[in-house]
This record gives sequence, C-alpha cells and structure tokens, in this order.
Amino acid sequence: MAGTSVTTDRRARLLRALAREPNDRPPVICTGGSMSGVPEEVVARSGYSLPEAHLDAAAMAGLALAAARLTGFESVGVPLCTTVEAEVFDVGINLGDAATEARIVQEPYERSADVPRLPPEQRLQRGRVGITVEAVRLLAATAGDLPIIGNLIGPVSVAASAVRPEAFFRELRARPAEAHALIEHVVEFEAAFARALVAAGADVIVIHEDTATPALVGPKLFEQAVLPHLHRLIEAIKQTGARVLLHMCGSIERVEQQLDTLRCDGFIPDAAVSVHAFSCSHPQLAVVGNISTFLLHQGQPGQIASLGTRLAAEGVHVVSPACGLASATPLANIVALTHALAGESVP
Amino acid sequence: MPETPEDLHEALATAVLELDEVLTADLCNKAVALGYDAWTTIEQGLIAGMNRAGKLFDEEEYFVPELLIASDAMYAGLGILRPHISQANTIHGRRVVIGVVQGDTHDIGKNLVRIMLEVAGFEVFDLGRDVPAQAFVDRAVEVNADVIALSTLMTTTMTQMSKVVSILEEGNIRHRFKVIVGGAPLSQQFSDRIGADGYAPKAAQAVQLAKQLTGLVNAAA
Repeated sequence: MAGTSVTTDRRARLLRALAREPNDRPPVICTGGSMSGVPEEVVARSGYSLPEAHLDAAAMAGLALAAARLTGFESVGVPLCTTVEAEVFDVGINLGDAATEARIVQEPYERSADVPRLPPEQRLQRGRVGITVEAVRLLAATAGDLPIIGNLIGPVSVAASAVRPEAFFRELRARPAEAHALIEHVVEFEAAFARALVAAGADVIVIHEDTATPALVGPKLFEQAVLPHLHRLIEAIKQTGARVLLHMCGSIERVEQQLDTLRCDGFIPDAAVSVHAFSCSHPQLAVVGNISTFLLHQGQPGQIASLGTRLAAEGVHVVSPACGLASATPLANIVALTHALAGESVP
Repeated sequence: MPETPEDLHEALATAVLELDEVLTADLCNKAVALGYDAWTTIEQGLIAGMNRAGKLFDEEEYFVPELLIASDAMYAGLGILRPHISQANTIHGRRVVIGVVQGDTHDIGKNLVRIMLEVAGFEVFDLGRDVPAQAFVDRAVEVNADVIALSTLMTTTMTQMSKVVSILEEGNIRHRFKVIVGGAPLSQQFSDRIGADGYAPKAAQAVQLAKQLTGLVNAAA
C-alpha cells in the first residue's frame, strides 16, 4: 500500500495482524496440522514425498518450506498431519501418502481410566514429537522472515482418539471425572509439547479442536468439558510468549460468547461464519480465515481470488483456508488466492 | 411400576429418552415376566423412546453423547426382548450399505445414522470407516442394496463420494442404487454436484430421505 511505513517482513505482518494492529494488508497463511498446505501437486513439485516427510525432520521442514514457496502462503507450519499427539497415546496410525492424509486407524483404549499416565517428558520422547520439534528448529534456521506455526490437536479431541470416541463421549457425560482426568493429562503433555515447539522457534501455536466441537457435544457439555481444558492449555502457551490461534469446525453460534473467556489471539472459523459479524462481536480476537476448502478444490481461480479480496475488504485479519485442503486441490487455485492478496511478491 | 401394557410402553419410551439404561432393562424384564407382546413393546417402548431422543437431537436439545447413551439403553432393552418375539413380524426389508469414505475415520455420525435406520426397520450393512469407494459398490451389488449411504466429516475426503457415483456409472449400475450423502462439511449443493440422490443434514432426516427414496413414504409427506 502506497505511503505506508510498516515493514513487509512476513513474520511482523502476521504478528501485527494477530494483534489487530494496523497493517498494509492481511497476510495469507496456511497453518499446517489439520490445515496442511501440501496437496498432491505441491508434494510432487517439492522434491519431497509423503508419507516419508512425516517421519524425518529435514524432510518435514523441507516440504513445509517448499510448500510455502510453491503456493505463496506466508507461513510455514508443521506437523503436516493431525496424528502426532494421537500416536503418543498409543493410537494406531496409517501415515497415508500424498493422495490420502495420515489418519487414525485404531483407538487403543475403551475407557479413560485405562490410558497410562506417563510424565510429559516421557511422552515427548515418543512417536514423531521429536521429529516435529526438530523440524521447527530447522525451519527457524531456513525459513527467513516466514512465520513458523506449530500445530496441536485440541486436548479433548486427542482424548477422544486415545479412547474410542463413542465410549469417550459417553464417559464425558456419564462418568465425567474419569474423562476430565484424562483430558487434564493430555493438556499437561500438550503444554510441554507447545513449550518445546516455541523453544525451537515457533511464533504461533494453533490448536485444532477438530472433534470435540460444540456442534458435536452441544453447548452445555462444551462449556463444562471442553472450554476449561482449552483455557488451561492456552494459558500455558501464552506464558511462552507465542501467539495462540484456535480452530473449531462446524457451528459455534451457541458458544460464541464463551469463546471470549479464552485468551487466544485469534480464531479460525468454519467457512459458513461471517467474518465481518464475527469480528464485530469479538473485538479482542483476530479473525483468521475463512476460505472454503471446497471452493479451493473445485472452484475457478477467479472465484477464489475474489473471495480472498472480499474477505480482506470485510476486515479479516489473516486470510487462510477454513479447514483441511483436499489433496486434489489444484496449485493454480491456491496461487490465485495468494496472488490476489499478496500481489507480485508471490512467485 | 406401570400397571398396563400401554403404561409400561410409555415408561419404557421415557426411560430410553431419559438415558436410563438400568430402568430400561428392568422394564423390559418386567414386560417379559408379564407376558406382554415383545414386538409391540419394542415398537411402542424402545423405538418410540429412541425416536423421541432423535427428535431432540434434530432440535439441538440432545447432542451426540445423549443420543449414544439413549441408543445403549435401547439396545440393552432389545437384547432382552428379541428372544421373545413370537411370530415373524413384517418388516419392509429395504437394505442400506453404509460407511465412512476412504481417508476418514470419524464414524460417530455414521453410527448414529445406522442406529436410526435400524430403528426405522432397515437392514443395515455397516462397512465401517476408511472404506474404499469400490468396496461400497461391491457390497451393494452383493447384498442387492437399495441405498448406499456415504459419510464424511472431513473436507479433505468429500471427493471420495463422487468416486462412488463414478464407479456406479462406469459399471452401468447407477440406476440400481440410491446414493445418499451426509456429514458436517456437506450440503445439498454438493450432493447435486456429484450426482447423488440426496443429502440429509441430520440423522432423522437421513432416515426420512432413505424412506422416500425407497418408496416407503411419499416424498411430499
């Protein structure tokens, strides 16, 4: 924007946006985690492959960085899947490939009380936690001014994958003390995981509470059983100095006011949410989003570019996909979005 | 304790609705001890209660945990009453093949729809989760299904649904099955676009849709 004195450093732009400070324009990002910006076409051109990049820090960092370069997204995020925490809790994982995301195949426990209580330091040694932290460390050395995003799956969603989800959601209502004790245990681990990610160089932590949403458990149970744990995790992350974003799928209409009790910096709403209305009713939250991933996949580049510029005009603080990208999403569609927002700075 | 069969059915429906598995089992045992007709007790008590719970679910008074616990109560009661069903009761015999599409393992929504379809008398073949498109088609052909019901929670796996439709078309068997889709990120528009026969946003509406598409109820009803 002409005459502006603000720096064009991409990290600084994102941090300003998350603080709702004046900005030259909204940055356009893709967080990683449940919103990995690595569709098949990007992977194919990156020089890296999946699932190998889930298992090696240099490849994970390399693919995340290549994806940012290819797509024009102004962030790098790891991990590139939603299964790191679940694996730490003994969940069986299929790491998939470039066409099919890594996913849970076997929840190991029938009851919350059955999940072994290991100290967080011990859990940090398990699965792909170390690889993810190391990937952040490598990105801190190689990603220049790109902000680095570490991603966590929400603690209640993790608990609902350690225990078979249906059994867990029954417990949440029928034997809440047992379910809550497990979630608290998960929060302890995730707080330690987040501290390690931030110490390695993550600027922002995004919590994806993708299963235990208000739409699924209802507003009352959400307030009693999900919100307090999110609150504790967010407080723990805030102490590190990192920014915190929260994403939940589905409708949040009936819990919107409760969201204000959380001290996160920003929220990534579902594609159906009006950015303008949300921003007006939550003046302390940066609104991040909310490009329909269906449109990104099936739409035309022109439509996608117009949606991006429309969201910017409506006052979105950061432009980002609203949910997970389909692996068949055309690169040209993503580039249309980033180009519309960032102009010629995109390759 | 209720005095007449009607009172017992009403108490049973209320027990299921109020998520009381112990009371549900007690009342079913009582129905058996008193020689009440098992089939009527299932229909007027257990299924009526489950349908009321399903209605509250659609009205967003109940959510997934409540519906799951209500279904536990219903199945506990069914376990007691089923052995006492006296004669072959006429059921409509419509068949549904259901599952969560490949790439997705979120199956709670699918399970709720399965429960409500069973409550409505459908014979349900549940293929589970992370199911390849071809497997839906193979199973539907094998059991001569009326409906193929596809579920996904994830935006990343929605395209698997159109793959099922394509396989049916390529095999020239599209006309033999009604394809219905459901899941949080979906819409009627998406269903139309991939050439499915219908979309339902909620479990009970999925049952209604399956009934309409298989000619059990009039679409206008």
